[in-house]
Amino acid sequence: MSCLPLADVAPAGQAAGWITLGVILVAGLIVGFSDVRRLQFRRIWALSSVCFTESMRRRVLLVTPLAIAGLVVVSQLQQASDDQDAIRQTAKFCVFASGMVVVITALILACTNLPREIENRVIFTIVTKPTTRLEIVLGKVVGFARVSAAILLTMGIFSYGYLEARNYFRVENVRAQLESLPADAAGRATLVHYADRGFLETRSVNLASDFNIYARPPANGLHWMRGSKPQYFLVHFAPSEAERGVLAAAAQAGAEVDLLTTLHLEWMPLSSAEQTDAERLRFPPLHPVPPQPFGPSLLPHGTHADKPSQYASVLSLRIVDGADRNLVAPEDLGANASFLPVVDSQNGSPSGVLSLSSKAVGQLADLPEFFVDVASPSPGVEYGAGPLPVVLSIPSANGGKGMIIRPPLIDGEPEPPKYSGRPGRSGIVLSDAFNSQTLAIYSFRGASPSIGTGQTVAFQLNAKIEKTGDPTDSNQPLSVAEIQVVNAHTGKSSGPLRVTPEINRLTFVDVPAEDVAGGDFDVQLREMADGQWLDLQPDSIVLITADRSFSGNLFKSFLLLWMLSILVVSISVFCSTFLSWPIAIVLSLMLLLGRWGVAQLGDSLNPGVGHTVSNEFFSRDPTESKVVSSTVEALAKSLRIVSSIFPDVSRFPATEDLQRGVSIPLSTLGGAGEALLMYGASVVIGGYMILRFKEVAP
Amino acid sequence: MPTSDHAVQIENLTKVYKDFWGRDKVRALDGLNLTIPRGEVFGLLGPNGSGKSTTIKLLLGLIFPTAGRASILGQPAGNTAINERIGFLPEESYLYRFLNGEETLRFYGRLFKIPRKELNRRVPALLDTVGLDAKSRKRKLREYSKGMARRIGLAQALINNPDLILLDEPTTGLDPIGTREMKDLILSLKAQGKTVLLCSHLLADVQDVCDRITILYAGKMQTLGQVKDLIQVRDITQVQARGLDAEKVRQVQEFLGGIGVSDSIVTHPTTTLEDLFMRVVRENSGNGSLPRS
Repeated sequence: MSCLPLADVAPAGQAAGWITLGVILVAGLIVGFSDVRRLQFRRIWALSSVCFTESMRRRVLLVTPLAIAGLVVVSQLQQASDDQDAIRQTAKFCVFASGMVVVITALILACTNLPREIENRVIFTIVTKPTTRLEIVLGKVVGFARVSAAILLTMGIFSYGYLEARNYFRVENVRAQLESLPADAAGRATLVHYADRGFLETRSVNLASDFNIYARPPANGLHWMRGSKPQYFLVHFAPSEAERGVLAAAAQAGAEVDLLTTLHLEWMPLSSAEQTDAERLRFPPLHPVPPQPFGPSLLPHGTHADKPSQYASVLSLRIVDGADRNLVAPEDLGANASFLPVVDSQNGSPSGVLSLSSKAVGQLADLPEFFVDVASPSPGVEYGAGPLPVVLSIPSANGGKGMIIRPPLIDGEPEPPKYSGRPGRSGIVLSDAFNSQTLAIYSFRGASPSIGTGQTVAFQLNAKIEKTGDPTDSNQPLSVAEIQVVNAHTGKSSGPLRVTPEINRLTFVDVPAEDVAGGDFDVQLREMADGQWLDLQPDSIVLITADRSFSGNLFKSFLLLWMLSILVVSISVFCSTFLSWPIAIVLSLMLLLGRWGVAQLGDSLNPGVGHTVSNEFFSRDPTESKVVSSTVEALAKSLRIVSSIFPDVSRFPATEDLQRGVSIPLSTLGGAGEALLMYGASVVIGGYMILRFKEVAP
Repeated sequence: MPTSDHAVQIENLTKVYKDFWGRDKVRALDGLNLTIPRGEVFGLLGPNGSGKSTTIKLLLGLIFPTAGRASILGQPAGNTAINERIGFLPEESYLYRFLNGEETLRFYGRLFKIPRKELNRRVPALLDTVGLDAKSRKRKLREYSKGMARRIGLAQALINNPDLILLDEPTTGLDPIGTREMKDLILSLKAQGKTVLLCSHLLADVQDVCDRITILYAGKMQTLGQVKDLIQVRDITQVQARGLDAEKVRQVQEFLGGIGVSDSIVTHPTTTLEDLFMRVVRENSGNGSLPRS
């Protein structure tokens, strides 16, 4: 359900990045066309060789033994849960340490070099040769890129050797364990797998394109959410300017604006836990008719009169941002917003109507996007949602046709709601499948399965297990999950496949290849063990498409680090063209970490932050509230835009895939290359233009 | 208009240094006009802060003029392309201290795109010319004495066989032998038809090698002309003769008195300390020649 703060502005920021590069490129060509014509790679290489030689003779490579010593100490002291975890942590440490060393070294070298040459006037003997300023800047960048490559080569060779050595000893350890393990012991299959193939595995995988949690498998176009369970669904709205104008007018006129919900209801048997909770909370029963405020509209059209023991069906509605924060204060939303009586939808008619307050409508008119969060506290009631479960209705003032505001269209269809559950320690919780119903569905579209021997394809399950009691207690029953693959084209199902996920370990599941034919299929996952639940991420289930070499993946990781270091060098050289080296280091760090820093603010900068702030601090005075809201909104927007044109260092993910044993896709390398080209070229040209007009004689 | 008959042409060249806020701080050069023909050794003289180095920096494009213009070998000053034909020795040897002498020359040679084969020939020859022996050329520059640093600095200025050589305080840090070698080298460059612009405050050195000089003071040209014309004392006549004893000296003075010269001085001329130093070193060197410093 989260909507990353920079996700919205990333495409715009990317476009802005390319436009900025284009503008800088044109400006650079206008300013330095003659220098471009004189550009000679031999001179650039000569200048870079001086940078490289200087760094080597200043014994820069001594940082690598220091890093290696630290790395060995840390990896020996690590608290790994098992052998696989130990190897993975070591791989992560290796890449992380290499990244830190190369980035810090590149930053310091590149920031200090040019100011020092200007200060000690070595630059005199360079610029009085037929060397253009463009060649000087490029020479510095290439030179320190070569230094980075030398550092990474040293660290890479050590990392590979160290990981291979650790893997060797760990595999020997596993083999020893296997000799003493009973043949039917739990987890033996996994140990055999590691004994055969080692821990340094790398695979190519396909990720699911969507991931939802439902109360039961979707059927007949309905997706189900269970009341009182920590389930909910989010309906996304992004009203157009015109729609927001109508909302604003309705708010001013005090006209009625309704949130209409259209849901199917079913009363299901209660689990003992649900029954206990309902009684503890004294939840109003369905019969007799509960007193106000549940109201006569709760009457279920007589269709459920045979369920005297069941509970009333109510919804809890909120209007939230991508970070699940209220954009409209619950008390302003409208009467009964958190206890909205609903009835079964009949002939498409709304099953629950929430009349929004004028204040809430006014606030919605200011929001370019928001989500309607729909949940239910009703024990045992399941809600079936069609493709359009929530709309905003604005009746016409003169009795004519009003306006309906719907979710935005995707491929001509309304954007489907996102079904989810409460967050656990390591992901979204998939609770035990009461009545074998609650499930997570990973939807794969356009996947490219690789069929192995035996006409099967393999899935990898990586879910954290939560359970009541001590999770490390070996006497606890094993977690049991059930996986079923349903082909989206043929409807053919693999049938339920039982697996026993283990804490912090991968689990592999083989499925007949025909079930994934065509590449469009859904993987249904249920937790079957009582009192246990799985914490799921969007990549908790992936389709393995190929086995890859670990060394190749390690190389790709270091290649990403090298590209990152070139970006660091480019920015540092740029800053050093107009600043003294200490200030250049500070500015380089700010440019490199600015976007990351804004991202750390989380969803605080999402649209709606103004309302959140004004609601919390200035809710009593509407005028003041409006001013604060719009000011905060504008500041947040400015910060998002500024940060979006900073380089995105998250596009150089060197550790994540390596640590997960997943082959780094070429698209990741391409994305890193794109970021490097976009920002690196821009700052290099910018640095050249500054140096072109700089008097280098102090 | 600048013409390529002149190595350097300067028209109304002015440089005003500004402070952080863009206000005028120092007028380092004020409307300098100067022309240096090809093949001349020209001296730029003046006390510290007179504008000598500023003029050199402007000619090389290290700083930009506030007003006026300058051209070198027919091209605007600061044009990167013309640097192919210029050699520059800064007032101190601003070189990469972690490279050795040979690496330094090879590096600068590569900036001129001199082919490797040619560099293999030119680098040792230049090191010989400036008097750096085989042992010195393999040492890092940070280990060089000041004199050795000047020599390698001069070698890098000559690596491209330039038409115009700008030497900023070329003899600073050199011992008398090195100074003499530097002056001999300047004269040999002149003999090769090259133009040399040197700036110095060691007037004796300038006097020995320069065809013309200008003296700058407070950013302005104070005088300009041939060295021999500028230093000539026109109202005093010097007669030199060898082998006059005291009696003959008295007779010469009587004769001068007889023709109405009342304040004549007849004395023995002195040599320069440099000549004395050279003679003593040469006589004690064993083989009658000067050792390399």
